[in-house]
Amino acid sequence: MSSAADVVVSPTEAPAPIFRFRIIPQLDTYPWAVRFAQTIPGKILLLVLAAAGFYACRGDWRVFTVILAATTLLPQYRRQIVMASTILYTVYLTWTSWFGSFAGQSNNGALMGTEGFAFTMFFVAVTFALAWMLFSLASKYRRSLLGKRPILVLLSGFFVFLVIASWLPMSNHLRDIVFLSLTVFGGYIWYIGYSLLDLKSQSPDPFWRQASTYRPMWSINATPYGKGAAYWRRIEAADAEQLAITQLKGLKLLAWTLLLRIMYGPLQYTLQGSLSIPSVPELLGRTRYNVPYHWYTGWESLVAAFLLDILTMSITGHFLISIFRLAGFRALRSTYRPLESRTVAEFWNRYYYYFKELLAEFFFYPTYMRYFKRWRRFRMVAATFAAAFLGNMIFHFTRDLMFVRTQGLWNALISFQVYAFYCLVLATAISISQLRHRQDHPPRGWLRDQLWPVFCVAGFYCVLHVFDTTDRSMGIGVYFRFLGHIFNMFT
Amino acid sequence: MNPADQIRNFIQGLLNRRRDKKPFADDSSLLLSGRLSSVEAVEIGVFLEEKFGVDFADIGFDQAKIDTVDQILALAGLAKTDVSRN
Repeated sequence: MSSAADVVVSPTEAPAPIFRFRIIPQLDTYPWAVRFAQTIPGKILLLVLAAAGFYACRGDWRVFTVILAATTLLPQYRRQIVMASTILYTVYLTWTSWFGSFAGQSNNGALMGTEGFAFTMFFVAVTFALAWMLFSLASKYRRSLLGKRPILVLLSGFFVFLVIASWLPMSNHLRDIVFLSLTVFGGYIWYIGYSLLDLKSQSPDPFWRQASTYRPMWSINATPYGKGAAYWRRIEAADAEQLAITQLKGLKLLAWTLLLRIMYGPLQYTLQGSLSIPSVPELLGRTRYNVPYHWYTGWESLVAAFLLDILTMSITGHFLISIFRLAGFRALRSTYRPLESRTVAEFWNRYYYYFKELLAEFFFYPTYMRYFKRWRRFRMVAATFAAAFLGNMIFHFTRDLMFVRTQGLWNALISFQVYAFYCLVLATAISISQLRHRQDHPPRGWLRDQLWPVFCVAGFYCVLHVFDTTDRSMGIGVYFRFLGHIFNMFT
Repeated sequence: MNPADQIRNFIQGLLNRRRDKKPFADDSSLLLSGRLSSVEAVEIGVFLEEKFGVDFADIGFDQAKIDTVDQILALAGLAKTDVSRN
């Protein structure tokens, strides 16, 4: 029942199952499959299957295939290939964001085309240079504030620069450029944080290895899928057999991704097409302008949005981790059966593992290990609030800097109220969950110990989903009215 | 009960709480494998602080340092050779 125990690469000496039906066969547990995956024909077959999977999922399937072919056929140069692929993929993504089909949605003000691309690439280079400087300084001066509290220094520096950029008078064009620099740096801030934390290890990786973990092709947003270099070191396949097992697991996860994608279309069509269930934003709009709808329509909409959201998280996470595994790293899944969670805290661990890990490593552990040592229960609550409330808000605020550019710092903070409330409720619920979880009790039967907790946890997150939005167009009052309406408290 | 067994029992208790019945060896990965989560990592940290005087505020808290029983024993100053004497 552990969160991801069975997704870890298991030793090959485990006995092969005689026959057990699985939608996707457990190829990584079949000795013949593991042996075959170590041969050249086996590697080629594995790459062909992976390429077919990428082709079904993404337009840029060729990029993944070529890079994974290199890491598969030349595993001794894996890190160098990953480093090169991180640079190439960064250039490729930047290019598509300014010249691709969705270039108009880049939220970078008046910056466009070549100018935007050139500035972005320049700021990416500056970000890597700054990261190297911080890494070198923290490494050299370990007893300094930067050496001892690197995350505090990193985040404080970022926010000081953000405040200055928000308040200094400047032309709109210059403001767009300054905020582009902040957006680029903000996109790397947690990756750099992991590098600085790695300096506390006994033998941290050199900077070039750290830099290859900065938004590699399987970690395309601000959340580091696969954490940092310290984690990579521990999960990297050490020999041909481990690589084969890891890649077979990656292939299985890619197959799961495809299966879930196939399910997603008909499910979405049924819910929002055939059953005509309106979306939550649409109902919030109706609430705002007092357009009537049935209270149970709100529930239909909320449950549909919750289920589709979990499916989307699973598809995204599975796809990215499948690439990571195919590259030879035994990474845990990002989403693992969240609807089986029996506690609020467990759901968070299962729903978005790498985001939870980020908050745990940057906020939870430092708070827990440093403060309130004499108050055991309060210590847990304080650390949980540092992560699920403060850390969660900081992550999303730094991620969505376009609101600061367009609304100004103060208004951006005010309009963040809905997500701030979400974080507050989440942190409170996780704290209570953790304190209750510590109280062991004798078995009370399947219904009370299994089904009821699962139902309650899913129900809680489904209701909380109302506030799980970083949309800034409506005040929190609209969300409360929507919530009150679905509980039939007011129309 | 010797200190090493205290640690093993504590880990067993954490696994039991998660309904994890699989056995674990001294070199089995507990945290990085996902068998235990961040919250249990902290509980191990607190256990080491309280029972063995380990101060994570000085050395920094890192899941990788307490991923296996062997690593926990080493951190608690109970390397395998010492443990076998108990």
